[in-house]
Amino acid sequence: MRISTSAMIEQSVRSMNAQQNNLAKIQNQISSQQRMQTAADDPAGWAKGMSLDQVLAGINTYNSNIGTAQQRLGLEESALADSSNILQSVSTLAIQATNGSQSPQSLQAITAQLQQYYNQLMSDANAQDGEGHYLFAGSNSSSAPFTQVGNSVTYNGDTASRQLAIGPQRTITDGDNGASVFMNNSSGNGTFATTASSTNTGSAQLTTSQVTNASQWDGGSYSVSFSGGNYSVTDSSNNVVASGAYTSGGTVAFRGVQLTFSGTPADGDSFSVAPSTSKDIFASLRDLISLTQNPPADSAGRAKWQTQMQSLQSEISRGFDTVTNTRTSVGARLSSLDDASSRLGDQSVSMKSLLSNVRDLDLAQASTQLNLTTVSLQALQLAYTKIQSLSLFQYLR
Amino acid sequence: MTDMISSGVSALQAYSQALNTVSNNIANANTVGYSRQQATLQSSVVGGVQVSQIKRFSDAMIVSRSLNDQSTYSRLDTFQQMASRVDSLLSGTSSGLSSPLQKFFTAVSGVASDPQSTSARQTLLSTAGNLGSQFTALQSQLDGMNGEINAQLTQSVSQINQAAQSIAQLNNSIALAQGSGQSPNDLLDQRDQLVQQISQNVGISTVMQTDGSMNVFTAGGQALVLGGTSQALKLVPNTYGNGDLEVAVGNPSVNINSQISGGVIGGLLDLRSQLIVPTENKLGAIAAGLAQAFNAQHAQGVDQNGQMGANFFAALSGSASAASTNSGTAAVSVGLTDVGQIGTNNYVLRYDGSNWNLSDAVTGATTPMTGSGTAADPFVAAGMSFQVSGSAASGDSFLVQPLSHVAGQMQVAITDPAKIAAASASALGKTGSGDNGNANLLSGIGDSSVLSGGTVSVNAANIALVSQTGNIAQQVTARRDAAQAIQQQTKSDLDSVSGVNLDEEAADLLRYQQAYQAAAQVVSMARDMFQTLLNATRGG
Repeated sequence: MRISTSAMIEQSVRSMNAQQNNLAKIQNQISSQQRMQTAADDPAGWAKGMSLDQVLAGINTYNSNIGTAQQRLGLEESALADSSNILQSVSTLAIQATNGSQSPQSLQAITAQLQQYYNQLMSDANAQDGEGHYLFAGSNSSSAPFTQVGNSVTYNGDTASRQLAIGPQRTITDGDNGASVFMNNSSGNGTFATTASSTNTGSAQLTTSQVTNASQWDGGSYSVSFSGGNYSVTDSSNNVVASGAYTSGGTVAFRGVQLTFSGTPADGDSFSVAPSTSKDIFASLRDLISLTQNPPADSAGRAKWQTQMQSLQSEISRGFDTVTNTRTSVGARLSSLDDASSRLGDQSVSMKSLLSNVRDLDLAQASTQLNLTTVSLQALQLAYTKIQSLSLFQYLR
Repeated sequence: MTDMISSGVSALQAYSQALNTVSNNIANANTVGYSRQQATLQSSVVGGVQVSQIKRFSDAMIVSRSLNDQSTYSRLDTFQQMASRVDSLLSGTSSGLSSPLQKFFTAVSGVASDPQSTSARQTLLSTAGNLGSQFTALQSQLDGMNGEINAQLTQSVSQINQAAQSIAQLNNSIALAQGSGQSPNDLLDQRDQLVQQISQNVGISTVMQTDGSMNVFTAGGQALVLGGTSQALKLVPNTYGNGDLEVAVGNPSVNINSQISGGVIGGLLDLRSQLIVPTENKLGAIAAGLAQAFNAQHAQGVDQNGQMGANFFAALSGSASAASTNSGTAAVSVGLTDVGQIGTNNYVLRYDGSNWNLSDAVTGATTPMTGSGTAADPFVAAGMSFQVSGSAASGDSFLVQPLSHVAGQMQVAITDPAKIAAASASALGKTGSGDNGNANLLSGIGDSSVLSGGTVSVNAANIALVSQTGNIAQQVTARRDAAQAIQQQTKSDLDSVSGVNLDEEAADLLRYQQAYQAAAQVVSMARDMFQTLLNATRGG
C-alpha cells in the first residue's frame, strides 16, 4: 500500500497523542490516589462507592448519636447514683429516728440532715445536661421539671421519651422521665397503707405489713380493732373477715395480707387498712421530716408515730428500689451503647476496606502502567525521528 | 532532423509539464484535501510525446465512505464531549448532589439527637440551603448546556449553508470546465473538502451527475445542493416555544428535525433528547421526591412554637408551554401531586374542542384523567394535576414538562430555626419541646422509597443518576473511539490513493529530470547534426 508522507506523520503524531493521553490519565490517578476520576471510568464501581459512602455516613451519624446518648445517660446515671445514695441515707436516718433513745436534740439534728437530703434530692431530680436541658423532664426539657408549690412537689415534664438511632432499625432511649423515677410511688407498702386511728390510747403499733397472697387481696378497706385481748377485722360493710386472740408480736392475717403488731392495745383501739394511694417520694420525705420534727409526747402518741414511721420507711425503700431499677436500666443501656459502638467500629472498618478496594488506586499496578506507557512513548518518539530522517531528497544534492 | 527537433521539443514541453506537476505535488504534500496529480504521457501521432491529461488520483467509493465515517464520528464526538461534561458535573464531589445530600441528612440527624439546640437547627437550615442551591446550580448548568446546543446548531447550520452555496457554484464551474474538455482538478479537491465539511455537520449522501456536478442530500432525503442551486437549512423555535431550536427547510418552512441524523447536528439533537432532557427530568424527580416526602413528614411534626410543621422546602410545580399554533387564550398550570407516579417522559395536553386529553410526548400513549380542570377540581393524572384557565380553542395543545425545571425551584421555605418540626404530633401546643419523634422520621426520608411508583429512594435515585450518566459517557466514549478508528482507517485508505509521498515524488523528479536532460540532448544533437551537415556543404 502506498503511504503518503503526511499520513505517516499524522499516524505517528496520533500514536504519541494516544500515549500522552494515557500518561495524563495515570498521572491523574496517581495524584488523586483514586482509580476512578468520574463515574464514566467505572459506572458500577462508582455506584458501589457512593452506596458505601452513604453507609459510612450512616455509621458516623449512629456513632455521633451513641456519643450523645452516652453523655446523657452518663449524666443521668450519676444523678440516679446520687439519688439512691440519698434515699439509702434517709432510710438509715429513719431507722435511727425510731430508736427510742433519741433525745429531742438528736432528732433535731436528724431533721436537719433530712431537710438537707430533701433539697439534694430535689436538685438531683432537676439535674441538667451540659447544654442546660433538664434530664428528667421528658420532652419539656427546657424548664425545670420539679417545682415546689406550697407543700407539694409538682412534675412539669411529660412522659415522652426521646429515641436516638444507634444502628439500622435500632434505637435507644436517651433518658427517663421524672414521673416514672420520682413521682411513681405510692403510700404504705405499695399495696395497702395501715394507719393508726387518732383516738388510739394503747401502745400497740404496727411493726410489719406484707402481702402474703396477692391473689386474695381485693383492694378493699378494712379496719382492725382490738377489744378484750382479741382482734377483729371488719370490711367496709362491717362484716367480720377475721378475728382471733391478740398477742404482742403475733400476726393478724386476712384476705392474703399479714400484719404484725407489738405493744398492748387499749380496748377500742383500731387501725385502718386501705389500698395504697399515689404518693411521690418527695411527699414521703416531707412526711418523714415532719415526723422527726414532732416527736411523740406519750406512749400512745409514740405507738401512732411508730406506725406512721413504719409506713414511711416502706415508702422510702420502694422509692429507693425505683431509682435503683432505673439506674440498672441506664447501666444496661450504656453497656448496649458500648456494644453498638464497637459493632459500628467493626462495620466501619470493613466498609472502609471495601471502599478502598472499590475506589483506591493500586499503586504498584499504576506505576507499572506508568513505566510501560513511558517506555512506549519514548519508543514512538525514537521511531518518529528515525523515520523522519528517511527521505530520498537527502540524497539528491 | 526536423522530426528529431520537434520530438525533442515536444518531450521538453511534456517533461517540463510533468516536472511542474511533480513540483505541484511536492508543494501540496501537506495540503489538506489535496489529491495527488500525475501527468499522463502519450505518444503523439506526429511523433514525439504529449501530456494527454493531468490525472487526479481519487476514489469515489472511498470518498463516499469517508463522508459516512465523518458523520458518524462527529456525531459521537459531539455527544461524547458533552456527556463527559455532564458526567464530571454529577460525579464531582463539589458539583454533584451526593455530598450536599449527605450533609443535609446528617444535619437532620443532628436535630434528632438534640432537638432543642438552635445551632443544630441552624446547621440543618444552612445545609438545606446548600442542597437547594446545588440543585439549582445543576439545573442551570444543564440549562446552559441546552443553550450551547442551540448555539452550536446555529453555527453548524450556517457552516452547512455556506458550504452548500459554494458547492453549487463549484458545480457550475466544474460542469463548464468538463464541457470544454478540461479536468478541473483543484475545483474537484475544493468540492470534496466542502462536502467533507457538510458531512461533519450532518449526515449526507451525494449523487454524481453526468456533467460532473454533484447533488447533496441530507440522510433524510432533503436536497441541500441540486446542480448549481443550493437550499439553505434554517433553525426554527420548537412548536411549544420552550427555547429549543429545531431544523427546518424551505419557505414556508418544513420542520425536518426528526429526519436529521449524523454529524454535529445529529449529535446535538441526540444530546438534547437522550442526555439533557432525561438528566433534567431525573434531577427534577429527585428534587421533587425529596421536597414532597420531606414536606409531608415535616407537616406531621410540631415545631418549637408548638405548631404543626409548615412546608420545609418551597412547593414545586411543573411547567406547561403553549404551542405557538394555539388560537385560544387558555393557560395551564401543572401541580405535582405524587412524584412517584410521574413518568420520565414529557406529556402533551390537547383540547379537541370538547375534551382535554393527556398523552405521552414520546410514545403518544393516552393517560386517562379525572377531574374537570378547575382550581377546585383539577385534572389529575399520573401524579400531576392540571388547572386550566382561560378558554381553549379546538386543537390547542400544551407541552407538559412536569420535572424538567423543578430542580431549579428547589429552595428552603423556612428561615426561622424554631420552625423546624422536630417533635412528634403529641407535642402540639407545647413550646420548646425536646421531643425528637418527627426528626427521627425525617432523617430516614433519604432512604424511604418515594420515587418510581414507590420503589426507589432519593439516595438510590441519585446513585442511579450518576452511574447511568457515567455509563452513557463510558459507552459513547468507546463508540466514539471505535468510530475514530474506522474513520482513520478510511482516511488512510484514501490517503494511499490521493496522498503525496515525497519519496515517490523525488523519484519522479529524478525520472522526469533525466528525461528532460535527454530530450535537451536530442535537440542539441540535432543541432550538432545540422551544423555538421552545414559544415560539410560549405566546405565543398
